[in-house]
Amino acid sequence: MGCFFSKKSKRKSSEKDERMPTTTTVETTTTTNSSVPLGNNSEEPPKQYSWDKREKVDPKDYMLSGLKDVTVGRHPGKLNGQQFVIQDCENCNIFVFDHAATITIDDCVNCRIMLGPIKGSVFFRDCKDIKCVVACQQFRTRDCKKMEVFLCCATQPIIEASTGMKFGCFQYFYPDLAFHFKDAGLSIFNNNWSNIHDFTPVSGENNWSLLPESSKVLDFVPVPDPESEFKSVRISGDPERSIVPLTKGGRRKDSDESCLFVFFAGEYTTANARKLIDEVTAKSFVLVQTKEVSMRPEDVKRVFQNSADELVDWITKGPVIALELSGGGVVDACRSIADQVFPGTKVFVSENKNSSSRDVDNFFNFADMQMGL
Amino acid sequence: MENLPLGDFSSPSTALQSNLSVTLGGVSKREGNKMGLLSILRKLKSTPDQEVRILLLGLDNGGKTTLLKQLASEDISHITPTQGFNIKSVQSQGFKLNVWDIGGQRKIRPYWRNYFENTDVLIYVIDSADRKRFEETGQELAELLDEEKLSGVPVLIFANKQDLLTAAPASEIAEGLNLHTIRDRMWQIQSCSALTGEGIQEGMNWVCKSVNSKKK
Repeated sequence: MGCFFSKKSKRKSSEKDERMPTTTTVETTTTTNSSVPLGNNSEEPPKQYSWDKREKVDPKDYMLSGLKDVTVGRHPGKLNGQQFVIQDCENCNIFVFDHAATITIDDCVNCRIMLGPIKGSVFFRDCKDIKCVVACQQFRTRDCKKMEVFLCCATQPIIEASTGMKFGCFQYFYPDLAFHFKDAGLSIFNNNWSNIHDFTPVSGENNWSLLPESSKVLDFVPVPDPESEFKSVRISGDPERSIVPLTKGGRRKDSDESCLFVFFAGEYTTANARKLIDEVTAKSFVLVQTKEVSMRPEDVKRVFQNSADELVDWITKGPVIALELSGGGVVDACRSIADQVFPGTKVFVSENKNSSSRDVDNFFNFADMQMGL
Repeated sequence: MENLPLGDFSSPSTALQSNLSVTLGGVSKREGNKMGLLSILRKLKSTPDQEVRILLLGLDNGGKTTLLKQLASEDISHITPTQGFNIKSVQSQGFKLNVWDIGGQRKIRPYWRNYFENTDVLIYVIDSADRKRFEETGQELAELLDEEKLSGVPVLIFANKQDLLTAAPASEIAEGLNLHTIRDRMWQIQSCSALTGEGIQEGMNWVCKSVNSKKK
């Protein structure tokens, strides 16, 4: 089988020319080419699908290509959950202040990039010297070098043939960001930013590491120039204002006392979880990790063991939000916060520091299993 | 290339790290789902063999696992990049259907060959909206169709991600891949969106048809 797309064609032109044309082909194809066979043993005529009937748009509106030394991107509402493509950019500041279906970033060098919540995957290929802030369901790289990423990722991030990759916890705020997370179907409490899977590990070396905990996002991806089109977007890099709570993730110290705090579904679950985070961090406790996950009655028994009976009814209304806090005296502090700040709210708090690390393990092992399959 | 893990890849337990999900047939709430695995199995029961093996390949990020979960009527809003492989199995009245979804990163494509043996149909998934990688995916497909152990195996090409804006239509992909030059086996290209489910049933109907006609 010969292949039109294949490198085996012996043309001497540069690789760029051999690439499939991007915009022109799609623009001129308004109907399926009925003379191209779609199979060799089917007599059925091809059906019409939703993509055949939808209004045609200009792909150029959803792409940034070949730009240099500019500040560019999309305002809130201007991408609206569509696909976005970024390629061949150099020394650019790129801001996508909206939710997207999926984004690919190819052959970019020395760019600072902010990507709003992505429902599917973000895929960086052949990029170098990138500093970025990204929220997505899947994070992937291939053939990349020197990237610093402030990440919120719902699943385990993966890298391949990439070196000098550094990761920190997503920190960012702009006014519509919380809505964009909802639009993208991403939970601010499901963030696997610190445990990266490397498909091409090299023995004796690390292709990835964690950014220093004190790293401030705006030192890496500064706010847009006040003269740029984005001057009206009110951004904050203050960790306390971040839409995604800052978690310690892989930097945890196992020796510290820990506590499991679980909010069951109700009207103000997210707001309550945020309030708890504010209360404990003000007392200098550490937020290690969070999870938002649905539970079934059989999960409740396994995770909460002795307390299970009363909790079984509470899991039917929606997903729970669980938090692991740590620090000396954290269990007492959490129990007293639960009494004083959340008296009428359905919560679970570890009983004491002897059972608490088992609570944490039981819950987060369950959550990892649930979400990994 | 590193040493391949030894062992018989026709059974799940000895292969790469896997996510195993086995569903037994019989009474199932999925019976109402026309494209579900169980209904596919029922359509295949005209085969004399007891086991049908479907292999799901394609580049990383193509949508293979989303497709697999969609077929199994499972939640597709939280899918993680596949590190080894995923398998879904259904059984019904002595017949068994196994669908193998193998990770597609460049580094682990050499392991694909460990799964070729006894494949009844190959499903090759393409991200129709990732034009930058059309050449790469065409290359991988061409190599698969040259493989001795896959000779004569019918191939369904899913032109996936049609829900995305820059997705190329199936006809354009068919032309670019020169599919019409495939002479040695049954083939079909089907546009689909694994996310929304559109086009999947049509593709799987062709799969059943091609397995049944091969096994006569």
